[in-house]
Amino acid sequence: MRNGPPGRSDGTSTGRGSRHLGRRGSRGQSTALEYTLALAVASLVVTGLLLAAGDFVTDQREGVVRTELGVVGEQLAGEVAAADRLVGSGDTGALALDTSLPETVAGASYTIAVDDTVTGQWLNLTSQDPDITVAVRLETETALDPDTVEGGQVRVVYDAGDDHLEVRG
Amino acid sequence: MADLSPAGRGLGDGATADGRDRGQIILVGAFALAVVFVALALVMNAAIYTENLATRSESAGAADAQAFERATTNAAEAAFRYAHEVNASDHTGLKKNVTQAMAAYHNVTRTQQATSAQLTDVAVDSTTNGTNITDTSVPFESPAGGTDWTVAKDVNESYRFRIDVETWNGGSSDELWIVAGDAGDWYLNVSEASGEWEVGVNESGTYTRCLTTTASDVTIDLVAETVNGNDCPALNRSAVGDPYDIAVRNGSVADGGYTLVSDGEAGSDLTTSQYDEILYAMEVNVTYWTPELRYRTTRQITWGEASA
Repeated sequence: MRNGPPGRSDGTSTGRGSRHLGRRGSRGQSTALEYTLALAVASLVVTGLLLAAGDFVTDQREGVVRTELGVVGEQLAGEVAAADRLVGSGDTGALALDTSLPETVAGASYTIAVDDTVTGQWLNLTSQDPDITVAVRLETETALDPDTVEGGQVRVVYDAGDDHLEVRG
Repeated sequence: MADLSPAGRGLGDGATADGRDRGQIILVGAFALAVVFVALALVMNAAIYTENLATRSESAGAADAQAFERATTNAAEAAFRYAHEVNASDHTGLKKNVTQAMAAYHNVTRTQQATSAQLTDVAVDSTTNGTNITDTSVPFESPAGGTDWTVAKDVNESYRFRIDVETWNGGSSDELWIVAGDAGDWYLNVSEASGEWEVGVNESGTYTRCLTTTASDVTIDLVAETVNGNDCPALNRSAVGDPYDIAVRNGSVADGGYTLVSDGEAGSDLTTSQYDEILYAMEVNVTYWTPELRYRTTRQITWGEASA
């Protein structure tokens, strides 16, 4: 891959020869400056592309995490509501309902906090890195015990003694 | 970066720092971008999985459990009514009848449910004995002719308690009393003067008038708490301590009929021609297990909404 043979660098040939002509035309220009400028431009272009792509991926990931936390929260709220309906339909002695939620959302682990406030009952799902919290509201006739569990295998249990539902990890 | 260049390149021919050396930074940049795109692909994969997750329905089978519990309740109610239709003998016979019916139901359903990996158990837990006391178109006297007598003993609640007073035999100062517990606690007072009926309740010495009417008769429903269809909350007997007896005082002053279905026993003045032994309530244990769900409940089967 050496440049063209020396015999064809007399300016009579086309293609490679013309580059030799161009090079002759840039005599006097500093080679180091040319190199530095080219390197700087290339670095700028590559860095710009990387930054843009990196931000794009980060934004997309955050969007996906937010959406998935919402979906997981709605799924769990559905299971809790199903358990609540079963408890409400009769004199329930025991109820345990297992549900299999994803261990991670878009690669991020998360926790589920069950909250019973004056504004209603909430499931607050919080992912670690990126730190995103999604709140899902649910309504149950049976009291819901506040607790925080890790995502993954989750069990909804009815405590007949205290007449309340619990979400256990 | 020189290490990435082929041997001998860029030397001796004035090609130092030519365009092909610059390609190396582009190459490194392309590697980095490729990694970013792989990360993007993983994120997109998570997004697709999320959509998949969102379309899944509730997975633990709680709806199936509810359907089974509902079907069992229906079967138990049917068995409860059927037992009283075909076997109106005594408490022991009725209990045996419903227990056997629920055992037969369990035998059928457990094999059906097992084919879908569901374990079920259905059994009669307990029954509450009761009596259905009905007598129509007679004076409010005991069968032996007593005017003050006990209709039912040890009543906690009743799901049907109706009194029809049709003809008045007494004077305008006479009163027919239906007493719950002790007359000092609660009694229903029916009187008639010049063709006008008056129905009231005396609770702990306080008299509350329910209705006065010139209708030909009065119908008092002590479960729905109405007199001739008009509400009378004073008919509620929940303040009377459980269990209580229900008795008639001055039964000779009026003719009519009564029916009382309660969890008590018939008064000793009555004979089996005036009452039937019934099951007042039945409790059925239902267990439903799947790999994801463990559910145990007790269903109470009764004749309907009861009144204390």
